[in-house]
Amino acid sequence: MPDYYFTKFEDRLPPAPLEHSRPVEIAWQVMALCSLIAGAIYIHWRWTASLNPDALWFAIPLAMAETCAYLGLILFTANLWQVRDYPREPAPANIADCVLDEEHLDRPISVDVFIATYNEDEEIVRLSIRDAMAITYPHPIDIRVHVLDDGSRPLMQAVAQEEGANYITREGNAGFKAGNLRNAMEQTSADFLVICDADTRPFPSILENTLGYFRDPDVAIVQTPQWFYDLPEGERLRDVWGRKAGALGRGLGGAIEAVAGEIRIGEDPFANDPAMFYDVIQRRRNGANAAFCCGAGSVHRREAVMFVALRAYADAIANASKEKRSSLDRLLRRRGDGGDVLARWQAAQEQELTPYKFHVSEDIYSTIVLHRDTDRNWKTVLHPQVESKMLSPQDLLSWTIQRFKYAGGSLDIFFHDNPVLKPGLSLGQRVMYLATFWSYFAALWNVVFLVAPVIYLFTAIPPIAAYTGDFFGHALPFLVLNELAFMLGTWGLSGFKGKVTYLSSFPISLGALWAVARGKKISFPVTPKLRQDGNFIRLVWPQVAVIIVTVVAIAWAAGALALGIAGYSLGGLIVNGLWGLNNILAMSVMVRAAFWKPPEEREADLKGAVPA
Amino acid sequence: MKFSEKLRRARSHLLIVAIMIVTSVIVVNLEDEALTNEVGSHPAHAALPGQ
Repeated sequence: MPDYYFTKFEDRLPPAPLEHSRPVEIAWQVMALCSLIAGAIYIHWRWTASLNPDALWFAIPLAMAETCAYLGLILFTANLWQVRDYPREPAPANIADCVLDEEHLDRPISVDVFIATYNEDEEIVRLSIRDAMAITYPHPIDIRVHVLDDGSRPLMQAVAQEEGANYITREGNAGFKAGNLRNAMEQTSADFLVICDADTRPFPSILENTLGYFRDPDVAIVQTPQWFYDLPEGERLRDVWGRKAGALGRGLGGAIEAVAGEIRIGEDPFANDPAMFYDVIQRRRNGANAAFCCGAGSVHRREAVMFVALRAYADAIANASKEKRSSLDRLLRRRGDGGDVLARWQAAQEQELTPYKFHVSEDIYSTIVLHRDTDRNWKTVLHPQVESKMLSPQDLLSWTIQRFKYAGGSLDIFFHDNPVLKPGLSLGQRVMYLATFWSYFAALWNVVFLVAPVIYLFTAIPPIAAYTGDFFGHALPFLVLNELAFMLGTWGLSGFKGKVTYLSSFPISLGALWAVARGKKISFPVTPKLRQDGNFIRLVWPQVAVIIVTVVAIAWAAGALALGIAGYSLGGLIVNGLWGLNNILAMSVMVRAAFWKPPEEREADLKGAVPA
Repeated sequence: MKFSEKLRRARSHLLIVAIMIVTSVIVVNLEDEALTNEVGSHPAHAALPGQ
C-alpha cells in the first residue's frame, strides 16, 4: 500500500455509540422545557417591553432574528427530545425472513456492494474493495462487490479485476453519482445494496449488524454513522506551549489542563467529526421514522429503491400528461377530458423509469419519497454503531464544496418540492424535516447576530431600551437554561466546535440560498478525497472581515468611553464587547482552518525554509 | 466513557454559563450604580440577592 497520510491511522477504532441513560434524558427534557418556557417569556418581553423606540430600524431586525433563532431552538429540541433506537434483530438466514410475500422465496439473501468512483486514486479504491470483499455473514449469502467507475479508467478496471470485483462503467457521467448508481442498478439484481463512496471501507460486520432490521418488510433503508478515521488528533496544550516557551510554557499549559482537562490544539480543524449529526441528530429521529439516508455507509432494500423510481415515474407521467392534455385540447379545440388516455400514453413514452433521482441531495430526496408514501409505510433506520470508515475533507476547499452541496441540495428541495407542506408525512416527520431546512436558513439571522454588536460599538445605539436588571432578568435564565439543557442533551459529546462552525459557516449557507433563490442548479462535483494544495484565504474573507470590523469596533467604543463621548456605557461595552469576542472566536475557527496544514507538511515547510 | 471525560466534553457549556452569570452581575451593578448617580436613588428592579 502506498504511504498515505492516513496509513498511520489504520489501527484506530471507532467510538462506541453514546450510552443511553434514562436519568440524563429526563434531566435534559426537564431542562429543555424550562429553557423553552424561559425563552418564550424572553421573546414576549423583547417584543412588548424591550425594543429601543429610538432605533426601531435596529431593534426590530434583531428581535426578529432572535425570534427565528428561538423557533429553530424549538425544532432542534423536538429533534433531540429522546432516543428511541429501532429494535435490533438477529441477521436473517433467508430472504423469506425479509419480505412480505415469502411463499415462493427460499434462498439465501443476495447483496450488491456498490463502490462509486470517478477520479479518486485507484489505490484508495483498492482499499475499499478489499474491505468490501472481507465482509462476513453468519449464514450463506451471495455478496458481490461492484466498482462503479464513472471515469472509465483502464487502471481502475485493472485494480477491480485484480481484487476480484466486478467493474461497471458507462459512457459519460450524466447525473454524476446518482447516474452512476442508476446505471449499476440496471445491471445488477441483488435484494439489498450497500452504498459506498470511493473511500468508504466497510467493516466485516456491516451486513451481520444491519440486515436484521430488514426482517421488518417495511424497512427500506438502514443508514450507519459515517466515521472519519483520519481526523487530526492535535497536540496537547502543554506540548505546544512547551515547544514555544520552554519549561515555563509547559508548566503553564499543564496547569491549565489540570484545571480544565485535556486541551488539544489543532484537533479536527474543520469540525468534521460527524458524531453529533449521526449519534445525536439522526439517531433521535428514529422515533419519528425520520432518519434520512446520507449515501455512503447505507444499506438499501432494492424493492424500496425501485418503489421510489416507480413513484417518481408515475408523478412525472401525471405532470407531463396534464401538459400534454392541455396541448391536445388546444390542438383539437375541444373541452373535457377525452384526451386523457392519449396524453398519458404520450407522456409515458417520454418519461424514463429509473432509480435514483438526479439531484445533488438525492439521498435525502429518496428518503422523503419513501416517507411520504402512505400505502406502504416505509421505514428508515439509523443504526447507531459505526460500520465503516472513511476519509474526511483535509482542506478548506474540499470542506466548503461538501457543505455547499449539503446546503444547496436541502434548500433546493425546500423551495421546489417542500415535503413539510405536502401530504403524506406524519407530524413528527414534518417537524424533523423542517428542523433540517430551518438550520440552513439560520445564516440569515446569524448575520444579524454578527452585525448587532458592531452597530452598538460604533454608534452607541442599543437595540434594547437599557442593559438593566430587567434585561438580564429575562435574558439570563433563558441563556443559562439553554446552555445547560444542551449540555445534558448532548451529554458525552463536545458541541463547541459544531456550534461555532454553525455560526461561522454563514457565507456557505448564504451562497447556497442565493444560488437556489436565483434558480441556479447546484452542481455535484466530487468532493476531493486527498488534500488540495493552495491558499484558501479567499474562502474565508467574510469571516476575516467580521473579525477585523469587530476588533476595530471594540477599540472604537473603548476609546469613545474613555473620552467620555455621550451614549456609551461601560455595561453596554462589556455586553457587546463579549458578544463581539464570541463572534471573533467563532470566525477564527474557520480562518485557522484555511491555514491548517498537517503536521508533516508543516515540518516539511519549516525544513524547506531553513537555508542550506 | 468516564464521567470526568463527559464533564470535560461539556466544559464549554459550563464556561459559557459562568461567563454569562459573572458578566450579568457586573453589568447590572455598573448600570445601577450609574443610574443611582444620575437619579439619586437605587433602582427597585435591580435588587439582587446580596445587594
